[in-house]
Amino acid sequence: MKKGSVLIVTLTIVIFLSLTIIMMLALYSQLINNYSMQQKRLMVSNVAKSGAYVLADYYIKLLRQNPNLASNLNVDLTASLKEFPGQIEYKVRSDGNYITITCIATLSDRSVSDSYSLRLKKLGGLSFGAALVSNTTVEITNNGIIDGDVEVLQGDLRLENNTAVKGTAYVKGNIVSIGGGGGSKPVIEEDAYAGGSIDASGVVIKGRAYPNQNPVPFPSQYAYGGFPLPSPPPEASSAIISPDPTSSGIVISRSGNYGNITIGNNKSLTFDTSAGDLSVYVSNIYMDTKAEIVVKGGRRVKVYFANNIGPQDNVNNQVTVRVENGSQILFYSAGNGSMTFKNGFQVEVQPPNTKGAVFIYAPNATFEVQNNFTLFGAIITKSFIGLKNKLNNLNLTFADPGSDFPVDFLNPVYTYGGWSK
Amino acid sequence: MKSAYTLLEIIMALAIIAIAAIVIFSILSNVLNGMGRVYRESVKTFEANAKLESYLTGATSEAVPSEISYLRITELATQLQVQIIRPSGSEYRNIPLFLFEPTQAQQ
Repeated sequence: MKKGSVLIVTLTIVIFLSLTIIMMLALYSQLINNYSMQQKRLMVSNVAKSGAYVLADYYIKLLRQNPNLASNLNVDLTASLKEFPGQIEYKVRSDGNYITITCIATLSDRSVSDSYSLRLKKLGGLSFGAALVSNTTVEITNNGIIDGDVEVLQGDLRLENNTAVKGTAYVKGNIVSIGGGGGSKPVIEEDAYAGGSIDASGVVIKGRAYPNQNPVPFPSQYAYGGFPLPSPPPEASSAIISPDPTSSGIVISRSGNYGNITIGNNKSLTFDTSAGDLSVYVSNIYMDTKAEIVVKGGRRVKVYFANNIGPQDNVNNQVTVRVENGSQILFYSAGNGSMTFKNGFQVEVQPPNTKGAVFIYAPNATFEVQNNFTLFGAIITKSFIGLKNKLNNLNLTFADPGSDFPVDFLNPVYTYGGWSK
Repeated sequence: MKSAYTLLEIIMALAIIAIAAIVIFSILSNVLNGMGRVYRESVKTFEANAKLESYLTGATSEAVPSEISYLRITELATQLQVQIIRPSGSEYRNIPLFLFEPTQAQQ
């Protein structure tokens, strides 16, 4: 080895170590940059999301006062927030039924930008936010299935084994499993919101569970700002007329005030909408042991009942409501009466899978049923209870009539149609 | 056998390597410490953001620090009162993340 070569070897080692450290410093610098960029991205993303939500809330309130504004709502807006070092831009687009709000947040140095869109959905005419809305505790037993959302404005949602809510549950009180029924635990297919506790070990919640909510975000109530009570239709002040008798029962084919209606045993009350929609006012509808209500003609019937729909002479009444060829019927009331079916309430849609449906909007009335209960439609009542504390064979499938079913007691409103990225 | 290096050369080489090693490893130590700190801060940032998300979705009722501010919308000539929500807890204090949500009042 030549003299002095040790110095070269030493310098080589030092240079190698120096290169290593330079590489580490570069890596560290990149890491710092990434961290800084990550924070910026999160901040901008949050601002975009929050901004969209805030403007959506503004428009929901504005359109509740003046729904007509929605028809011409295509604007670009700019906004600022002193806590955010950048620009906020909005694109608002409406097609009448949906309003899309896009919020774009951009940092001042233009290094990071992000956007968030959400959609508002128009609830026009007779729109229900859920399959069932009740102001008191709801108990689902005996293999009951609700195919839609459930809102319990006061009280608990009590679920027996083998029952299911195939939607989201919004409950002021607790969501509890009451066991019994054998077989599988009760299931809530989507999210569960409760003002109280949620029995997560007894109820299978396939979405997310949100216990101890205050307030509980009831969608229907939020959309409408409560449930306005309907006024009786103009027919209420007209002279009482009688339905036309037939061999199978009675027929109503024109709008009017029909006072008290009685459906005899094995007889039917037919609403014939061949000539157009019907608006009917009744004081009460009484029914014998087996009754049938038929809606035919493919149009809509509104039945305002001032007092009760229930059994004649306290018999164990049951009713089948058959909606034919896409006909729909609404039973509605501002009264605090009752709808009582002591031996079953069933809806038949003929032909199956058409638009036929039955809707009940009676925020102050009680709905009581025992034994078979099948409904294709939606219910808003003060209470929905099973007689003898049992609801048997409950099968409620949600249908929303929306703007197809105009009513004068609910103004069109806009509500969230879901976040979308 | 006679060495190819003088004693002076060997001492110089050892001294250079020792000084270089001290400098380089102290820098390396600082870099590694810094990387660890950035990693921890990064994790905290995601934690803080997750807490904000869960607040927004209502999954938590945990109290979060909030303050009132205003979103000014130029074309509408209006300002919407909003509540600024920041991550709670002292460990998230220096993380510049926030959400905002509408309050009942509007101006």
